[in-house]
Amino acid sequence: MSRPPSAFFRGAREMSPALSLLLLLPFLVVLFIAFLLPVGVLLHESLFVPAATLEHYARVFDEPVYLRVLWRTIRIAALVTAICLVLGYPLAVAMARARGVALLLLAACVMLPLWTSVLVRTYAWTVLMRRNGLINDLLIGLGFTDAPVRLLYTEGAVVVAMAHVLLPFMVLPLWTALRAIPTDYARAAAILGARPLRSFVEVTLPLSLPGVASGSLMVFLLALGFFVTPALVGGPQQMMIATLISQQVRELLNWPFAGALVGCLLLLTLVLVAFFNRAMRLDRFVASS
Amino acid sequence: MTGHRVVDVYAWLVCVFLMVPTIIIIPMSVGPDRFLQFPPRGFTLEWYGAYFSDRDWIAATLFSLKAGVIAAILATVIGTMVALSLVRGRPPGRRAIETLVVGPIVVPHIALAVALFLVFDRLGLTGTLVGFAAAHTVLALPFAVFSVLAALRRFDPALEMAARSCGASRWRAFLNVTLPQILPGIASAALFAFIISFDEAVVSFFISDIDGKTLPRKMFEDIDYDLSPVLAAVATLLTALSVVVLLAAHWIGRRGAARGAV
Amino acid sequence: MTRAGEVAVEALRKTFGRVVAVDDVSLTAEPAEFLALLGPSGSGKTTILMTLAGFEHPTSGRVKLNGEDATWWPAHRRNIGMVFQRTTLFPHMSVRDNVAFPLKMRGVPARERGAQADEALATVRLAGYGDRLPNQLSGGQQQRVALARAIVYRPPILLMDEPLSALDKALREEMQLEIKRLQRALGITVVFVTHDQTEALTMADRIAVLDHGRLMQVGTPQALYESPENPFVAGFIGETAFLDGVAERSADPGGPATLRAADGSKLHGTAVAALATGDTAQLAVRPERIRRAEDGLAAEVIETFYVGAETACLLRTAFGAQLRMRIAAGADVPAPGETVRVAWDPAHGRIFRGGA
Repeated sequence: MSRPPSAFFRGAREMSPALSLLLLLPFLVVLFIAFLLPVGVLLHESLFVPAATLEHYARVFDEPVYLRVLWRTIRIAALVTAICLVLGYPLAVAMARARGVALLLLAACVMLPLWTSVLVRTYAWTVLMRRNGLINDLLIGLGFTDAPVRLLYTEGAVVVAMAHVLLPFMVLPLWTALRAIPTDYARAAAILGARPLRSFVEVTLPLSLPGVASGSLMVFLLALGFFVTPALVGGPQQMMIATLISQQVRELLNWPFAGALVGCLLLLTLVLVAFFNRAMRLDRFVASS
Repeated sequence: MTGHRVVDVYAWLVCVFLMVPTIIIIPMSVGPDRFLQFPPRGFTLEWYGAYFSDRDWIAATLFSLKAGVIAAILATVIGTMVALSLVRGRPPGRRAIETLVVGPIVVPHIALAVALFLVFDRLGLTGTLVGFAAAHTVLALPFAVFSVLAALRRFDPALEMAARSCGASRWRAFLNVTLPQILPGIASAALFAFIISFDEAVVSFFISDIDGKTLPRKMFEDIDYDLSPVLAAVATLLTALSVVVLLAAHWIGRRGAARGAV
Repeated sequence: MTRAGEVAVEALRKTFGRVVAVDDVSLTAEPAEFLALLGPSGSGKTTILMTLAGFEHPTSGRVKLNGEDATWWPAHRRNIGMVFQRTTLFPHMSVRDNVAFPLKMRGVPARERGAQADEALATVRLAGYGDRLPNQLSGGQQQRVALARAIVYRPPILLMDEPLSALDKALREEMQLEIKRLQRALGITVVFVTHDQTEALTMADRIAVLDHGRLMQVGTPQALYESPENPFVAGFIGETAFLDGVAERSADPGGPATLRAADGSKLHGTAVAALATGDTAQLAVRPERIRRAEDGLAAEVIETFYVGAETACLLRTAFGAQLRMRIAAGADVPAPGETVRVAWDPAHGRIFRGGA
């Protein structure tokens, strides 16, 4: 006697839609409670408190103080992205070509900072950049300056520390893209007459552009919403949007306006992601094909 | 090839830039001066002692450990279920779910942190393990899903079919054939989920309170107000933890690769 | 002295750490010759090709292209064409741009490039495919584009690294003929790496057989098949039975020789190298040379396989050697268990000194 299995388990190779959904249930519950709901409530706050209004959003763009913060945030994020690209691309190229111990060391230099607390790395910069810190010692020792230079709480400090913290996010997608280019392509270009530099420009560089786009977008997005490093290394003059949001919430308890700032940040993020989605292909990690 | 040589030298210089700021803290953490000196003038473990005997530091550390373990377990179990559903199943609205998975990565942490602060404050969840576990699970989930997905994609489903043709039920086939094969992916998912939670600073900054605060939050406060050398000791310990986690992940990865090759 | 199209390696040796990939190989491909490098994996054939291309440099020895010492030339200055095992069409360029790439590297003006590329595409029968992207072509078409790209700038030498191994059998056979036709039409020297002996026999003017980095024999397909100089070549190319014995009396190279098998049976053949009385030796004989003969060697039929045009018989001699015999369709087929007597023309039994 045999009877067909219940529809729940049917499907020789795949599970049924019902079982698939059941497996997703805890994920959906957790994401709803600790992600969708809070973000939704905050955005609701920005649009419907005290009554349905866009005044909180208007304020972001009306008051020069806030506009300046927004503009500074974008400028710093772009600068950090450019620095990461300049520092990261050659490193990724070297990693894609390295083998054995050299590769292991290079990869460790990228992975270890990535998995070390942002606070540890930011703390290191605050120590190095203090008035009597190592960088000032070096500058004085080398005769560049007589008295300690103010480094901490400057925009330069924010940019350098952020570039340091975010560099791994640039290197990894670049490395992935460059590593995926078969070495035979460079060989083919060479045997067809291309010098190494020419072969890089004609073949390697264009094929690595998706990695450039995805790394740049990643760093830019993270930089836009970055909180820890600007808050600790920068001063009030270097305030970025995340610090502004924090200030609104913790000091002024102005939730609707904080919500509006978050709304602007989210909108900017989503527009960028949508625009670059093809290049970035975040979904390639999860997509079915 | 001189061009290659130039690129290599440049790459190693960038690596120095990446590593030096963190590494330089280590010798400083054993110097006797109240203001960190490089090179340190002498050797002392005083600041490590101060860390281990300070109730606040230890309380924050234990709190972070608990939150990290809970978040790691939740993120790994839930993430594995999601990965299985996406690879083997036919969930309705698959595109939406894939978008949802990457959501916590795309949305800036500051946005999520403030939103969680707002809701948790009303629900009385700030400073509680439940609150931290939920928040950190959400933050770690994408990485857990990626890790298990990668392992599942490398695994040949024909093996599971072979097990079933040998008489194993779907559940037994999963337990005895699939699970052992994807275990390295699950283990590294757990490892990284733990370290994501343990090092998480932004959400922690907002949803901590006086009694319930994580190690990163405590560090944040000290960097902002105090900059005592104890911080150098804590930073060194955290860096050491990262090294251990990375070595463990590397070891798991190699075992996984070795197993895959057999 | 330059000779366009000549390719040579002299006393080539290449080691990777302690592994000897190529061990003292000297080899020349004459202008317009089709030379196949044939061997199992790890035989060093690909290393030799990579050394010719300039992607590896020899540990010792020399590479000569067109009669000039090219050992240390960088790949992009060698002016040779190459087709790789896996597709190396640049995925971000159209088919036409791919084929025009080497022209661009040589400074050919853009207008002429397109025309020349289209012409090259036509020679591989892909006219009209120029605007497509590589991933819009089938595997066979992609390799034909790669071929067009390798010949568009009229290099005197073309290297091919198992270019057909990723294709299915029918396509492979079609491409073999096409490559051969092109090679003749262009008068280009081809060095072709393959592990497929049928491919080598079909296409090559001469074949160099390699094993463990050493050159075993170079010769025309016929010479290799009919007159292998060592047991490796005899066993690697075509089907061969090996029968062990000791030399009854001394023999000169090329002269008749007789072996005595373990049970005393006499095995007649031709000595490849000089033999002394009592030398252990082995006799190699191909299945199609074995026929039934009243006064021949006794062997038991183990199994018979019907394969259409003929029936293959698996035989075992009284001294334990296995050999195959082919029986043409229509002739009597013995039953398994039966004992038959077989013989061969001594000219076709090649006797090598040494052996098991």
